Amino acid sequence: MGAGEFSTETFVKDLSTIADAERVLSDPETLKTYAHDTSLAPSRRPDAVVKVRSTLEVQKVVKYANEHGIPVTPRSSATGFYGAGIPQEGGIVIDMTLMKRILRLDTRNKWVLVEPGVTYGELQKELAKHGMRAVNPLLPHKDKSVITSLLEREPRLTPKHHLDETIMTMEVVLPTGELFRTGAMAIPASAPEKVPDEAHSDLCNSMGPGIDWYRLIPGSLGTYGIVTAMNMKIAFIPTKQKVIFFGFKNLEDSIEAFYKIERKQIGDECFLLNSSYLASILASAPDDIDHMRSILPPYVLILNVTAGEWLPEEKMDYQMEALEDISRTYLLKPMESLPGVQEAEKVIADRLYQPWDNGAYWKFRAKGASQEIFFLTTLKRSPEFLNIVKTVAQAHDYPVSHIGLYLQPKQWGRAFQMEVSFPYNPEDMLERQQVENIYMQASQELINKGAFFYRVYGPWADMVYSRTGNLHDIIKKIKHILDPNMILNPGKLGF
Amino acid sequence: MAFSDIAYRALQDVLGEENATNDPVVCQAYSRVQWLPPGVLQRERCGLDMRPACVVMPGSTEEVQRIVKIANRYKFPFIPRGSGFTFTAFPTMAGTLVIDPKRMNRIVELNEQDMYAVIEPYVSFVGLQSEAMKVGLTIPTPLAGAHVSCLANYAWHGAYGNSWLTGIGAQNLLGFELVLPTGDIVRSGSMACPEAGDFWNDGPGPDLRGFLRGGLFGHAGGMGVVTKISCKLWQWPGPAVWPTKGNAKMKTSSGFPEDQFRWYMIKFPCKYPEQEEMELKKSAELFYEMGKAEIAAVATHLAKQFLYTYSSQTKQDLFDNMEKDVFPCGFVVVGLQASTSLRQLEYEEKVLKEMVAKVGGIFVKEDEPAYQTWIGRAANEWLRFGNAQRLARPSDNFSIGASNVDSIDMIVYDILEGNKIERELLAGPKHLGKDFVQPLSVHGGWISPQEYGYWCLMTTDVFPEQAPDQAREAIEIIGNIARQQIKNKSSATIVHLLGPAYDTLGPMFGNIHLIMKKFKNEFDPHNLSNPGYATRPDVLSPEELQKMAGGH
Repeated sequence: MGAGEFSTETFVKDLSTIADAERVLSDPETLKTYAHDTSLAPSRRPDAVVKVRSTLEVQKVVKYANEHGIPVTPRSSATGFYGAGIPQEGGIVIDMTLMKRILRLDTRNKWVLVEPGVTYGELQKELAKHGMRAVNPLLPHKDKSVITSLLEREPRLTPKHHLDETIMTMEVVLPTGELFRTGAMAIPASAPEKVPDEAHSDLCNSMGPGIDWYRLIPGSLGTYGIVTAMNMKIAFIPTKQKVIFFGFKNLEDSIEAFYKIERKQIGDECFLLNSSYLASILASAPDDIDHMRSILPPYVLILNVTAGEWLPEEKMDYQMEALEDISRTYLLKPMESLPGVQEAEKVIADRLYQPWDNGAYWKFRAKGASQEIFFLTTLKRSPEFLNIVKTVAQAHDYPVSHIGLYLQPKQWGRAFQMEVSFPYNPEDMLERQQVENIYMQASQELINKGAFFYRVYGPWADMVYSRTGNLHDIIKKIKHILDPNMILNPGKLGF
Repeated sequence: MAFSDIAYRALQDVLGEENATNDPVVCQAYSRVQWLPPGVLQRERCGLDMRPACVVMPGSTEEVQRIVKIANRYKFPFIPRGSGFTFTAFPTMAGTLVIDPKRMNRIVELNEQDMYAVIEPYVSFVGLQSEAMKVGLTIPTPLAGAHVSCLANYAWHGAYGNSWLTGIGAQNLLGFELVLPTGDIVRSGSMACPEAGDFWNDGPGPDLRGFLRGGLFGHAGGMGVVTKISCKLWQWPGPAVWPTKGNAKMKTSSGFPEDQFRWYMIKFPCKYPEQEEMELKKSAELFYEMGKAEIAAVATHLAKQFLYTYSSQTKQDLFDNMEKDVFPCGFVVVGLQASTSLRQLEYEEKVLKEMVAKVGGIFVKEDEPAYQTWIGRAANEWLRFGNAQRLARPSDNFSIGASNVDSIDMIVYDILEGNKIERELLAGPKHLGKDFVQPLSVHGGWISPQEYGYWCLMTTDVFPEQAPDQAREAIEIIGNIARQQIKNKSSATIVHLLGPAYDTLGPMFGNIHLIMKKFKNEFDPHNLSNPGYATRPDVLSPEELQKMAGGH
């Protein structure tokens, strides 16, 4: 264990002076649930879990951990996908799922301020009352923390440039336990949500103080600080929307048209799924996935054309006209539905702004579990990377038709996040091992060929940082400045 | 040790004699900035003793690295500069080396399909934009002028004519290559991975753009020398070459086809300056509505000082226009761009007209002097800056009076506060600013909403001459506004942290000065990279702090 000379009993007792005893968890069965997530990351059990209710409690736990050299792992979501919330060296998990307050909503300046335990389902429900919505990723898990999703830099569904960087200001407990607020939130005030009342600021400056924390903290996997509040950009719910599908036999066939749609800035949410991923979303039941996969076009570009409050019909018209122009140029046939799927347009439209709420998470519906690989690339290189993945899968006798594919444009198509996934039966150890082998080999080959793994989870840290010169030294020096005792989420990012 | 003949010979060995000089005549040219009050005072204070000991012109990252390693060996300070626009790029102590990147002026890559460019430090905005336009792309348009270094401007806080779409410098930076103060090289974003291409900004892992800059400023060369960046390019529906017809007469600006761009000037009838507040608040309402609808490529409110300075062709022209009261108040200027199609442009025009009617605005007519002067001469410069910094035209100098980043509403509040203070100081016992160019100096207020109004930037400016006494007055005015902003708890105080401000204001903001000193000490252990920036490495005693505060 990572508790130094302390016994678990001792520090559990100490922690109970910080949080109510019932929120300090140390029974083995409970700890087991914190030892793993849905990824292939190895299980690692914490020594204790503190279910905190406030920033002050987070501070106290972190300071206590510093005094005694105990590792601390922050966790905001009840479900994790990438191993980031698994304690690599035991110690304390700070569970923030009880910090569920939506602290302030500013519809005029289009932001909402929330605590880490707020999920997309909870947030969208509240924002909808005001005609607004969160800028969300593709069908997030119902337990996914909004803040975690942003800190992990999950891509948003919209390629709009101004919604690419969604984080505005943050309250952060630094690894030393000191409280720090970023951007305009740094103005002295009694609480983050009080800044607009107690100061002349609407929390609309993300930059500074000193360095741009809103960029430095995300992607650090909870190693640079624990975010306890964040305000983020939100958007209006459209008054009109129309989901359009474009089917392609090959990924290569979609490239030019996809670039053009982005360059012309048509629509709002826009992404491409292959039949495997799309079937997992559209199938009425898991048993139907195989059949649906077989009848859907192999690759489907999905575009949500929207309009707001001002002259919505005319806005829809000019966008549809522009789409028709592109369709003529590239000989495409826009579809308002999909073969074999009743009201596909409505199904997709209804889910664009919602978390997954149809039983088992959509990525796991096919076989019970799934392992993802994701990275950034330019669109034109995506077929090359898909071929690498397929080749590796075939070499391991994995059915390529089961591989999920998701392409998400960012910044009007400057870059695309490419995600591939390998569904597997988690009860079948051979299948799990097969997928783990594919995951490791494909990741390495993709990195070798220039797939940009910007989110660096688990084994990717070594694979990536071995190729980036001094970069890891720099982020490690920053880690030492912020976390001199190296207690925050050790073992991540190669720390 | 310090700069010496040995160091000089080492630099000449690395760069060749033609690219390293200690010629006092050449070095003197690098000893000062001609304008901005701190530059004027710096010139007065520094005199001949503060000219750099040596100026070098490296031609590559490797040469920069070797220069920095020589500086570390002999322990002399060095200052990286871009195009030499701001006072932080000039020496404040003897024995300083200035690194002039003039030879590093290559556009390494211009990627049409994926909309990015890779550039060296001396690539100017006009150079990059000219190349980008040829392939249907463009870049932000800096008010600092067409000639300034893109790289330095992005790492600093460049503000742009088309920020409504593009954001400021911070939003346009993708990857970067940095020679650290110790001589190590680090690359960030996808530039860190040699096979990936230079298209992306954050990762792998933490986004080191956060380390490279912060607030409104970068670290002013205090964290090493940026030798290459990749930056965003933006969609450009206009012509491949800038139209030039009409320029010869110096009376009209070159025009664009009506199916690509349309300009609008909007006013809110009021008695100015008494109803300045109403005028600004209605402008804000219009911006909020436009933000909801996400229309337009340019949306900005220009105060008198911008309208006159940027639209006048000569200094005489400027004063003639002021005498004629061509711009009796501030105006909203909107530019529509056919990003999707002509129908999209027409839709946006229709929406804009409805919005303007809703908020009680009036479109300025084509035959009005304000329209002819601004739209006719200057508006297109908000899409491409074909000129140098025009704010300096009235007095060959200017000083930012107030600036801030926050919501549009808060920016309006700050402009009103800043203008009020400037007017009170002018009318007060010391008549501060009485010799400045008036009325420009008390009718400021650039509302520059960013990224469809999610946030907003502002400046108000004053126009002193290049005389030390006037520079001191300008700084006193700035000080008064800054004190009021601190009293008001404005976020302006956060974005302005740089140099000595860390020591005086840091305790207000989570002791950021102590964190920054740790960064400075860690990455620049000998305090060689533009010493004093981003902050000095040592922690000041209460007495030293008191002395510093008194000095301001």
